[in-house]
Amino acid sequence: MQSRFDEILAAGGDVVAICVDPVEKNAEVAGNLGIEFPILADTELEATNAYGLLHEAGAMDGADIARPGVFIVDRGGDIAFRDLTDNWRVRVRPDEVIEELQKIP
Amino acid sequence: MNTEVKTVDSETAAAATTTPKNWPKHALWLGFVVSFVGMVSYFLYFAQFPELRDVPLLNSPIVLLGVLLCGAGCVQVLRHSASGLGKVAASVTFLLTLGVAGLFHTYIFYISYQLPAAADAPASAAAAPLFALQDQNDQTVSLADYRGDKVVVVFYRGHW
Repeated sequence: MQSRFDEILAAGGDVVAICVDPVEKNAEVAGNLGIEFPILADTELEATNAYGLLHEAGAMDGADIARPGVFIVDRGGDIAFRDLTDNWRVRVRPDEVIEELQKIP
Repeated sequence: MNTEVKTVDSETAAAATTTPKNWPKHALWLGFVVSFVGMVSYFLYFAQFPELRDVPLLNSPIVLLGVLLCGAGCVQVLRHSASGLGKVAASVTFLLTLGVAGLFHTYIFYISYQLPAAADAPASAAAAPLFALQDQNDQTVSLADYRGDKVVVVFYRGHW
């Protein structure tokens, strides 16, 4: 996602990542992968639950995490696109995200 | 006359069989290594390429190749080895290799599908639920900040 970040910005979209990991962990990952967009720490699973993505005991150590999902929110704050993969290894491609972004006014 | 020919033959045979005779043993452990490397390299390296990650077009064949190689070696040992211990060792190696291949493919084709159905996920055109959380620089980022802009919200599993 980071490598296509500039294109996504050009297509008019900001990117926000959300993860149940704490701020320190997200900072580490951001540093390692050179991620420039915000990675938000959803440690209380607030956003995860609000978006219906709770994966109870989904982590290797039995912790609750989010199942993967991508949402595009339009200018009015409504959901314009969503991708809910049925396989955690298969994520939506940046190309598709860019395409969908360009469809939104 | 006959005895002479026989001796020469066995001598030549003995001299020439170091490599050919040992190939099953090499095939056995090499096959295991190939399968193991095939599996590990998927997670450590090749999974970063979507074309090779979604369906493991590279790593699955490598893992299976390792199984074939190991299997070929195992069959040879089982048929021709005089050593009972050797046969057990060969069978164990092959079973381990099968185990690696099984583990890898179970993860790919079964385990990574074990996701809850996101029935409660907001549908298109619904208002995106608001949130306000800390980012990696301790800044509070709120979805409301993006009103007027288009934003892609990506949820990651975490616990990396």
